[in-house]
Amino acid sequence: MGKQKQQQGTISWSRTCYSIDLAEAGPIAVRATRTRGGVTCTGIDPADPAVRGSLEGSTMVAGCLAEREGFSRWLTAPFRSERKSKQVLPSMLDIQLPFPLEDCTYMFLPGGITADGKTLALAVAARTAEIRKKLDAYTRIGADPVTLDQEGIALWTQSILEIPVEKEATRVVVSLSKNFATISLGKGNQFIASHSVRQGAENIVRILRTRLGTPPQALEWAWTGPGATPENVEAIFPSLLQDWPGKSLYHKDPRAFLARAIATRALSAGPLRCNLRRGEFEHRAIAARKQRQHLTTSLIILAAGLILAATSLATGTLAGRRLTQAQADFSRQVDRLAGYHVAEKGEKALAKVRKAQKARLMVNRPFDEAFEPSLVSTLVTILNVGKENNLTFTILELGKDKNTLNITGACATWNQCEKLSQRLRDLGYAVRSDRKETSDGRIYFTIVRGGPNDRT
Amino acid sequence: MTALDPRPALRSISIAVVIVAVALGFNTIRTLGTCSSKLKEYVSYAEEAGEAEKAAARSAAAVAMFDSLPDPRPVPLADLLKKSLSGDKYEIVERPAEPTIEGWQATRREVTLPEIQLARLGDFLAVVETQRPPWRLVSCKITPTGSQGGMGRVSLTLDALEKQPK
Repeated sequence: MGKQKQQQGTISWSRTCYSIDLAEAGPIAVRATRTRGGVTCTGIDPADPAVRGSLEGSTMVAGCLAEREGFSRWLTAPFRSERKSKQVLPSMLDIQLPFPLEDCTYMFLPGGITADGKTLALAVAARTAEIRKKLDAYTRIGADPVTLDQEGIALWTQSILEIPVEKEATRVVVSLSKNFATISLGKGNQFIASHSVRQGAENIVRILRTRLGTPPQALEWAWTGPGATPENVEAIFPSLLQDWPGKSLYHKDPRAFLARAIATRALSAGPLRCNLRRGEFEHRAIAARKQRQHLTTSLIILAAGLILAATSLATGTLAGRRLTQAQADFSRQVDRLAGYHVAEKGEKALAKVRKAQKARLMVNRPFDEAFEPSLVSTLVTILNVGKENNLTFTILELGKDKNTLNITGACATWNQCEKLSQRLRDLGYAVRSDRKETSDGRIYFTIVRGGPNDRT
Repeated sequence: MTALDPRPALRSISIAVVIVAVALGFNTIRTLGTCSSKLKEYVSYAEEAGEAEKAAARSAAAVAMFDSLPDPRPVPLADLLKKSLSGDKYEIVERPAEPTIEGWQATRREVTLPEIQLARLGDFLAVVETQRPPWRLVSCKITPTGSQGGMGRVSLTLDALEKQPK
């Protein structure tokens, strides 16, 4: 499950809060601080003037609706898609209610995907009248809770947090108060349902029969609540054990258990977090935070847009400047080469340069040629090859730029004159050779300009 | 008086800015494409012009070298022939030369040696090409003469650069 979903319904941006359980016997409050290892709670007296001052001040307060003031239902939407499921869940909830959904404040807590690919959601709701009544009750003690949790779910998540449930065991969390008992049950870490009943073993058994049918193999009874004294538990537990045998567990400081649960759920992210103070009841601190978040998002988008725009403009300008610089450099180069200002740009300017260059090369040619390899070296090479291969020349004619080449002569074997042809090719001459054997046994050859490499 | 909620306006401005930025981004990408291809063109032009500049610099250096010679007139070929091939007959004919830069003229001579010992030709050519300014062999034709082994008729065309008197 995503962190964002787990933070839904919490005030996890705050490190501390007060949480108040408006119990039958009077309010029970704790001061909670989020630490690295979890949430640390300290009991406080809401009637204490110092605490009252804090409650009326800027300190965050977390509250809770009693189980009988709201309800929760598991719903299965026939889609895997979360978006589609969100569209049908309100209608599915509406069908199950004996009153109009419009009279309720509700939210859907993600419950995962079923094996057959459907979306499971826990609907948590309360009638708006109940919420209003609860907020009035909080106002009477000088508190304005930022969150309104749901008792049954809070009892369940706190119970399995404080005493982890054994694998595959079914747990029944019984929170005893003065006249009522809140029962929250689940299997493993999975919450099943919660109910509020009048105290008495028969009422609890009725709920278990409805929800579980038959006793499970492993059952844990977790006792908590202001009325969970050993005497009270002893009064009802033996009757329960007859049909629903199981292990009995006591939560520490059972009186402040619900207040701890509300505080822990408000300050830390986790599964099944909920806040029914929403819509018309939304606390101004949450509304202001949402506003700030929207504002921040808009500012981030604005900044991103401005950065993108600035980067685009800067990149475009830089590229344009680079091109202008390259054009200016080339223009100066062209002017230097031409010896005057060339008005043309690009390819046309280059054509002018080529023309000027050709004219300059023509007049400077005798000077340039003075530093090129001499024809004498070619002549010496030919004479040396001739000497090495016993060639007898009858005509040896050479011209500059490899334009003139005419060598005729005689040798003893076919390959001797070929060595000369190859040497001339190595010197860059395109040559064509012709050999002929005569009656005297000598090979007469002619080497002239030509052949496949002749580009002159 | 209630304070105006700045969020809708800010959201609209942000969206407008993002749209403009994206449009600018696309425009920049297009501009970059055009600039890039034009830059490539100019780089190749500049390379070609750079080669031309190098060639021009080489030519200028060559001219400067000739300009720096103390006596920029070639030694007469007749003197060199007498020195290197004394006793041999020769004929020197002046030929039209190629045009060159102002203040200099290219001279061309055709030298014919009706019958010389070919082995001595190398000495003569080495001498003419090491002069300052040098004579440069432009073409040659060697035809052995049947009278004696190693003898032949040689026709040479030689060019030289000469500074014109002011």
